[in-house]
Amino acid sequence: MLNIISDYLEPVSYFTYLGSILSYSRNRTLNFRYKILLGYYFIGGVLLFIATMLTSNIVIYDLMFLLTSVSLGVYFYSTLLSLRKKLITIWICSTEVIYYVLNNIVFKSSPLFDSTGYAILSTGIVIMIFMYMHQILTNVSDESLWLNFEFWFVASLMIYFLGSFIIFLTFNYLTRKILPDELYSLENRHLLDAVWGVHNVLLFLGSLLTLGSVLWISSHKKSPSS
Amino acid sequence: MDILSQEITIILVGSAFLLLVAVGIIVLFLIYQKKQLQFFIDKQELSNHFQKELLTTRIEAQEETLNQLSRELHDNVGQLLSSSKLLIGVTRRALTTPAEELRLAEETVAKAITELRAMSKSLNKDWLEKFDFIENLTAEAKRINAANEFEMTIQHPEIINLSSEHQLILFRIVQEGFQNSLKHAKANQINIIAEQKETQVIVRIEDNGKGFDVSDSSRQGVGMINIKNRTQMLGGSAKWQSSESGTAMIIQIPIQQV
Repeated sequence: MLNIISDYLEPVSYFTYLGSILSYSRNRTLNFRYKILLGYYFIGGVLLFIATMLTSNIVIYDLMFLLTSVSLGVYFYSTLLSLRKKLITIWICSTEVIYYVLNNIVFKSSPLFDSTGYAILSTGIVIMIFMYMHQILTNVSDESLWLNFEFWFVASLMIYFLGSFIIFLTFNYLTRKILPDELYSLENRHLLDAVWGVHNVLLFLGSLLTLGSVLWISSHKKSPSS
Repeated sequence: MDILSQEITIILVGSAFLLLVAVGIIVLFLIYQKKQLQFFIDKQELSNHFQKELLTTRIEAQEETLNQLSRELHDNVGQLLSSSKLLIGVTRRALTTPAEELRLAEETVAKAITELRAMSKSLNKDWLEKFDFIENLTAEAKRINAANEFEMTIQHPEIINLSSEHQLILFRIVQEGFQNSLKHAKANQINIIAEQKETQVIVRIEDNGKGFDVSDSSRQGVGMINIKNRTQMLGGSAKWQSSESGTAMIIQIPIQQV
């Protein structure tokens, strides 16, 4: 069970996101930002599925760092309205891309999980999430948030990126800690898998929230009496 | 418990705390937005109510002005015309061979008095309130057709299911509508079709005038703005369809809101 959660829940979550967005955009004109999200979750899901079959999948996670940074950056750039928020998004995205280039191409990073990179990534995305929340507060519309797909999608990102922040930040440290021969044991390996499993559960929770919101919105828009 | 397990426990507790923070932010956000939305709706309702009050006051003021105008026409201009007719009559009878022009002048003044009385009546709110929309419209059509310059036809149901106050406003809307056809569209044929539906009253005013560009807002004069304001006050809508062969104005007034 732990193996399934640790290995397969990530691609499953990405495909759940993909299905949710596809289902939401059915019978609607597909916006540029939804096209970006569909591309991101499809490529991400395939990459993470490949990662389950590899012994060393750090390269995939490094690629996922770049893909997430650019895709969600473009998504927030087209969602946020004010120029200042757009500039902050560009700045965050550029910082992450520069970090990726320096860490993976110029300095050739270690073959372990890049905690610093993922901590920077989740901090950047949480900042963009707060900018989006601020935008909702300042631009009051008569549409209920309960029926706003964008809000639930961003909320699911917050659950994942904020909830996983400490795991991202410490995963490299934990991996290094169990690597020495005297500490490397199956028990410790399972502990590490459990930590990553919690991260996967958070990702899955986020995808379920998005899927639930799509079902909720479509059921409410079908029956005007409700 | 070894150090690694302790550290992992701390990490998991920290993650659970951050997850709770995220969930808390979402919940707070939903509650706050609900309150903000309620405030927004209340503000909107208040603004709509204020606009409606303002419009009612303006229309009341307009009606009062029309009333005054009606009284002036009847009591002042009407009296002057009557005196003139009397004088012409006396002069004509005093002459042994009165000129044909004098008879024509007397007839013209008599016609003017009849026209003036009809116009005075149609502007008088008290008079209008005694009759319903259909009676008023029929009288108005008769007055316009009497001039022999225009032809106005009316199709209507037996009754219009609106309060007399709202019938008066609807009458003013229709009056404004066909005045536009006569003055601006240079039409000589006007058809008015009133329909009483289950939930609404629909009045369609068609003319054979030159038409206008409906999408060009700069062509919308005071008349059209008045029509829009008055229909809005009744919770209804006013639409125009126009081509080179004429214009149709469609007024829809919901019954449940009036």
